[in-house]
Amino acid sequence: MGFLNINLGRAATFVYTDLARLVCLTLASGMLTTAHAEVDEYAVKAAFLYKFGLFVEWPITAFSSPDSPVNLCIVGEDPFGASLDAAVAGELINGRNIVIHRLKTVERNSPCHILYVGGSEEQSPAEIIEAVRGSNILTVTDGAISSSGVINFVIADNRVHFAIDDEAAAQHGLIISSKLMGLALNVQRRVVKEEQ
Amino acid sequence: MHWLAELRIRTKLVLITIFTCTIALLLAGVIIITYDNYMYRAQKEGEVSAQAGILAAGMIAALEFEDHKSAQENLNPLAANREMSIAAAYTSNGLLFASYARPGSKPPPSFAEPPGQRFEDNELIVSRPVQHGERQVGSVYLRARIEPLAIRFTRYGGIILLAMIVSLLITLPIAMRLHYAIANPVYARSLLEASLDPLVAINPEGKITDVNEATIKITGLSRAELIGTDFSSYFTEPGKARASYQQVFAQGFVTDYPLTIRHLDGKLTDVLYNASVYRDEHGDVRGVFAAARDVTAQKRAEQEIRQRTTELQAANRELESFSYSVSHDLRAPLRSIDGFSQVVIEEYADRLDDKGRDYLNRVRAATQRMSQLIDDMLALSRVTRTEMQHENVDFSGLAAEVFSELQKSEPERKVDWRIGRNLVAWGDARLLRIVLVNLLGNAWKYTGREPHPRIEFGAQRNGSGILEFFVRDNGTGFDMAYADKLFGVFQRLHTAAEFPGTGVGLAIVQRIIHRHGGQVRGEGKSGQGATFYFTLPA
Repeated sequence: MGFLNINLGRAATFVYTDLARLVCLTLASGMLTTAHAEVDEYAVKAAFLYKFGLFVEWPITAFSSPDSPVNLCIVGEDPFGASLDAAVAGELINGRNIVIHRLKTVERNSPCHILYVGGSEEQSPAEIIEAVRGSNILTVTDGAISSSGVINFVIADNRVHFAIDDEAAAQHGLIISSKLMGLALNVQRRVVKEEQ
Repeated sequence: MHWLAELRIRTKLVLITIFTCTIALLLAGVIIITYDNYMYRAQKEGEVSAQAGILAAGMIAALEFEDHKSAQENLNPLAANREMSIAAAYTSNGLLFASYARPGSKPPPSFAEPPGQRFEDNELIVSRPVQHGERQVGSVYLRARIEPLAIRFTRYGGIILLAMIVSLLITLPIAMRLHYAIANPVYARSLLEASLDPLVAINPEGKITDVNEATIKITGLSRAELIGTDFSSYFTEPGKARASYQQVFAQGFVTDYPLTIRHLDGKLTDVLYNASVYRDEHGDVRGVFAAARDVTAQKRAEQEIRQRTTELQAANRELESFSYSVSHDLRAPLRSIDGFSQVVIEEYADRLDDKGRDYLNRVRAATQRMSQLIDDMLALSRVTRTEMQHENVDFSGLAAEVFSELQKSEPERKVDWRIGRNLVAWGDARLLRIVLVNLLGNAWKYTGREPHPRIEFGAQRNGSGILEFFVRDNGTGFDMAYADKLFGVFQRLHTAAEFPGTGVGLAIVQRIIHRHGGQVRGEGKSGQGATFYFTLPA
């Protein structure tokens, strides 16, 4: 856990984008409309995407050095556009910078920590999931019914929610904070194996 | 505080006890309440900020992902805490994110408060940032009711009052007992000092252990000089003094033990000692407590009386022998006068005319009368001087004897005699006979002109239940106005021509009755007889 405490000297800042603030206010008032949802959905998802990193523990081997950034990869179609760059701007995950990589395809050795499965004709979401199986990558799928990632975005009550497959996380060598699981709509429990 | 000084020691002790108890308990109460209030607040602060911490930890994800529902779910369990009135979460911008408010409490502030905790209107307000690592993702706000100080005061007041009652119930009997321990010595000391008699306590070794002021005065020595010294050394006869307290230890007490105390300046005081042993609470003899009574004045008075009596007795004897010799010596010339007058009447009868003979006869009668007076005076003095020999006297028999003698002297007189039966008196028979001779003789004499004379001798109980003898006649009687003169020597209510006599008889009667310790009185009325009563104490 030592790497988690790196860069303590840097003052933590918490800056929402204007868009995010709007979401926040509209959510608070409980008057979220479908129209707004379409506009805002990906902005919210963009913010969520990097925030997942705040609640996930990677094995120490996932990073080459204590200063290495967290690589946020978008594979295939990119629904976020600039909103993701805006959401991530200036943010840190456990003291690490966040670097966005937009990729066409992905393979097991791709240097990704968080992977948004956009999918394309070249590599379908299921293929992507399959490609990175067993790597230390937090896969995030969007509304996938089958072959979902560790985290899967779900829309419910006109809100962006997510489900967590903790068994998948375990297979990826990731530890997801119970705080995050507390927010998840649905959690696929990990199969507890007796340790040898 | 003057009134305090006048209170009884017992009351003072009780007041002190109550006062001390009250002060101690009030002080303890204030300390306990203050400490308890401090502890209570500290505890509440700990509890509420811990709750705030837990809440903040639970809020991290909800705030990060702006999940109101989850935030609300985090807040709702606080409803179980009845003291929690407000719980709220704020975003990092300070905007209200989710809140819980107990019904009836005011709503949470719409903007986040700076971190910290404070007490306000019996509420503890805790505001705490929600940290996610180094990021502040928002803040939580808790407001918990705390018990008002007044309620705690009331509750503790009741407990203290109860404690006060209980402690008073416990301490008051102790104070009462203490009173005996404290007040008794003071009381005993004041009693000792109140005594005008010199009081001394002596230990078994004969050393003085305590004295009172009167002892200090009578010896001229201070208390300190007296205590620890030998008791016997302050008397003219130390050996006798030593013997006195040794006797006390042996017998338990002495009474009226005569000693003489020597004052420092040499002045002597005759005293009588009353002393007895005193014991401690276990009944063991601790020493002798001796009280001296100054009898110097009595002794002086006694001596004076003794001297006076001696002088008086001497004077009396002188007087008696004088009157006896006078009476005796007077008889010789009287006899000469009488004798020679008779010789003149007989030898010179032819040369005397009737007138001369009459004069001489008068001379003779006067001398004989004077001789009688002298005899009576001698009799009176004998009555006074003779020694008495008490015995049971048959008064009835004695009276009958006297009557028969009187009857013999005038056989022609007829008198109605009445003598009570079995009258017995305790006294000198010879003197009591003289009483009857005089009283019955008087009755005989003063009924001489009565056609049916009656004389009665008897006894009766008077108003006080004392036996009274009486001699009653129906003779000439007397005027009660002169009753006080009846018993005077040579005092007569009738002339010698009317009734013969010298006026000594009743004086003799009175003297004899007085010598027997009794009383005599006469009652009468002119021409209606007289009654003489007398008592003779058994």
